[in-house]
Amino acid sequence: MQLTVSYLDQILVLLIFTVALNLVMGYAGVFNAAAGAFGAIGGYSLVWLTANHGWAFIPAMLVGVAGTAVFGLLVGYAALRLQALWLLLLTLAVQLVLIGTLSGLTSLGGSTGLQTSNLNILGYQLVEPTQVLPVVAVGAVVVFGLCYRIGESPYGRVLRGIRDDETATRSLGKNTFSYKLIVFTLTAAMAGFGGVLLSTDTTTASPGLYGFDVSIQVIAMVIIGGTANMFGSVIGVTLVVLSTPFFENVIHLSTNVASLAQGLAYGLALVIVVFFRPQGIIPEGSAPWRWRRRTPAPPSGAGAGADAPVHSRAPVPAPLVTDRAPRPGAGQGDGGDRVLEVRGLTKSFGGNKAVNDLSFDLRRGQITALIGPNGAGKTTVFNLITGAIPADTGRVRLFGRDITGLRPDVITGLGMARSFQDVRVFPSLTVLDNIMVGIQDQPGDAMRNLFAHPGLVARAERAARERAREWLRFIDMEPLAGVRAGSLGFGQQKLVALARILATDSEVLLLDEPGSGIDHAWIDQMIAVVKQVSEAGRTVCIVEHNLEVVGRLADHVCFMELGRLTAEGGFTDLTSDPRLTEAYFGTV
Amino acid sequence: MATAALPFTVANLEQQLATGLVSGTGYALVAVGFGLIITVTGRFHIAYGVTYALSAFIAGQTGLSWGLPFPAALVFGVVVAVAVAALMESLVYWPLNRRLGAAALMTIFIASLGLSTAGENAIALLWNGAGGSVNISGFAVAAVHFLDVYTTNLALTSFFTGWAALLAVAAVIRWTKLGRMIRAVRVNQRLSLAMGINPRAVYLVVFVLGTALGAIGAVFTAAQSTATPDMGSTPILYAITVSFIAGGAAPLVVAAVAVGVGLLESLSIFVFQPQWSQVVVFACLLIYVLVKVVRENMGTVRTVRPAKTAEAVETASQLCS
Repeated sequence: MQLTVSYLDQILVLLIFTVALNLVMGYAGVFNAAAGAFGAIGGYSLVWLTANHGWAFIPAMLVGVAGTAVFGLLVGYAALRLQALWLLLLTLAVQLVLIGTLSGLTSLGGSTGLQTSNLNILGYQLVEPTQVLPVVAVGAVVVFGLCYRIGESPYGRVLRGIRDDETATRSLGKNTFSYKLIVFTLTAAMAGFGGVLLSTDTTTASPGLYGFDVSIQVIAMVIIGGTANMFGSVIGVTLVVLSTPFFENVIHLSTNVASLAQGLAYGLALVIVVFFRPQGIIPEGSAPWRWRRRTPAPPSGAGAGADAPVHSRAPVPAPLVTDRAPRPGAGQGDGGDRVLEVRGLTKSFGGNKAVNDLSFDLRRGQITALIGPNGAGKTTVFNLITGAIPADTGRVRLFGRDITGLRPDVITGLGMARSFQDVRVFPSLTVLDNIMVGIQDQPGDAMRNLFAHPGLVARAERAARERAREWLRFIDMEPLAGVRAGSLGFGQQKLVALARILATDSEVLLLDEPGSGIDHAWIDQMIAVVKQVSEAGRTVCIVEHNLEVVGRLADHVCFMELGRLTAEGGFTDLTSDPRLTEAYFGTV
Repeated sequence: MATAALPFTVANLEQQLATGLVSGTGYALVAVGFGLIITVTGRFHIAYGVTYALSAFIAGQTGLSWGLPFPAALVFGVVVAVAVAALMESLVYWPLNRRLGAAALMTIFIASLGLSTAGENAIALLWNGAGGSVNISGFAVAAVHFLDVYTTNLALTSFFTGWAALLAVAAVIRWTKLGRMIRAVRVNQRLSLAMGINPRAVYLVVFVLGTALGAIGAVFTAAQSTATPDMGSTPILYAITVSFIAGGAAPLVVAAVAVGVGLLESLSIFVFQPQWSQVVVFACLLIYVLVKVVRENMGTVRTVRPAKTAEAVETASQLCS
């Protein structure tokens, strides 16, 4: 009985580590190899404070968890700006340095660690596995609930967006660094809490208890069970922990051999799962109550809604956030308000001036096209004015406000959003979720609201879902709402990406090659959508190589060569100029 | 913590420098081998530690069971390790890379983590009857004394063999057609394919060369102590450290950084107790990464905000008045 309860305690404690790691790794895509180290801070704090300083359990636990949170915040602040490999390396180094330091400190027991016998909560002793069980059970349920709530909320949807494509998420107005830092810190604190309970379960804190092996084991549990699925973590932990008694009691191996067999088994399981079932045993988005439902399959051919006549399209949904519109123009001029002013923009990459003293305006309700031969610097212009890369010199004003140097997410929040040449939909999110990430100012985007105002978040989520459906109806793709965006055809993905930036309610839309790589049916669909949006008062700027698209859409055309604006005017004027035609096509 | 374990004298310095050079050569073999794999193939092949340990176990076992002399046992250990590494590349990494493309980096790392865990435990299980460790026999070890340095002929042989192997690999990469192909694939796999180079074959060659270097180091390391299933853990972590610090530099530069790590570990005994030597190395890595973060952020983050511009200040003043 004691042994069974002991295994149950182990499962529950490791579940805390696993769901925490799943939230940061499975949902946010942030790889963390320091789960054991974070646990060590919690565990050592508990044992040191209770054994050496006579502290009570709860204050010692709170110090351990808070200490881990602060440590996690510091590590996250440094690590989360790095590329994936460097992030992995930094967390690996943190794990090794921390555990190595603990092993070397004689005041903390060196390599043998510390022991405590002073574990009780208000007189309730925490010595036997049966006594520890209620505490770890409550702890595991609370942490599981927190992680589930965050992961399956609008906040979790943004995290999954960051995992799929951080650049695209940032361009939709989300401060991705802030999201990652918050979730990294929170899950570090959870791992610290797991460390507290692991030390409670074993009444010890030692380097071996929190070594790199533990971090690997937790990673294995997440991968085997299924990333971005908390129920998968339950399965993963249970399988790995119970493999030891299985080898001992069913296969009748000695304790030592069973332990080695367990390592061999979960190592192989990790390879097999990665190879044959990368989504893990329980895939993302799957839950016990959803197992009977069918996931909608993407349609074959052009897709549902693709062939629908343009005239059946739903009207352009009105802006959701009324206090953001209408905005003042930068100035009154010929033919309308200037909503975007670009002045003297320059950008060099090494010795190559990609954009050279560029100035142009976008006027309210107009469609402006930036055209020019390959390498003219058109996409770089988009990157500069949306803050994706910093300009060397020059100024950009949006609605009269200087936005030079602002982050892309801030610029989107101010009313200018962009699409990408390579589409950048979130492949593992559904079409509906893709659009919902674009909707601004959702209460569920703030973690505190998930717990402080759940009713508000639920109501806003329903409204956001309906709003996203409106956009899907507008692009004639509502039947595909539940389909994963990655399974759509390229043309459909382009429309989803367009609807996603439309959902930001930005008044200025920058569309990078909306017509490239898609066939005529989809081009017609795209042109109809963009025209309708423009007629509804939005300002559009397109970078496009397909001159047919430019001719059908653009009110005004800017011609770029070698980073400079060399001509502007009407489409017919520019295309009838032999010099420009030669510059564009290389021949007259 | 800060109490030095060894007083600083010229004799001690000479001894520690010699020790650091020998251990650094061992790290250099692993670092160049691992670095070659990660920079050319992009595989974060953490299971390198398994082939490292396996070569030592095979060399030890063939010496014990078949009575092979040390050089033959060394060759046998290296060949088996190379074969296992080639199987990992062919059966696991390449198919994953083909399926996932650019997104394969972390998936391959996780698969490699699985191979590493499974491999280490498999070795421990296979040699469980021998207490989980094997000694390498067949080398008549003798003491060697020069200047104030006390060492062994085995340590010196490992030093010179290691550098011979490192120089050979560096020469192959620098001056041969095979080396040009490896460098071409590293720089641009697609273009090299268009030029008639088979990246899959090049990857296999890189796994063979990279694994062989580490395996040579492993057999000598085990001959000086003993082979254990986790003997690859520390060298592979040092190799990761060196590879990242060297940043895909030429093999001899990577080797020089690795020797620096060996010297750092060895000389740290003048400042810290021996148990801190590894922490010192990883702490240096941590500091290096943190400095990199600070430098990158200083280089990319613009501090100019509209609120700081003259016009915005003027607008704010007008609003306030």
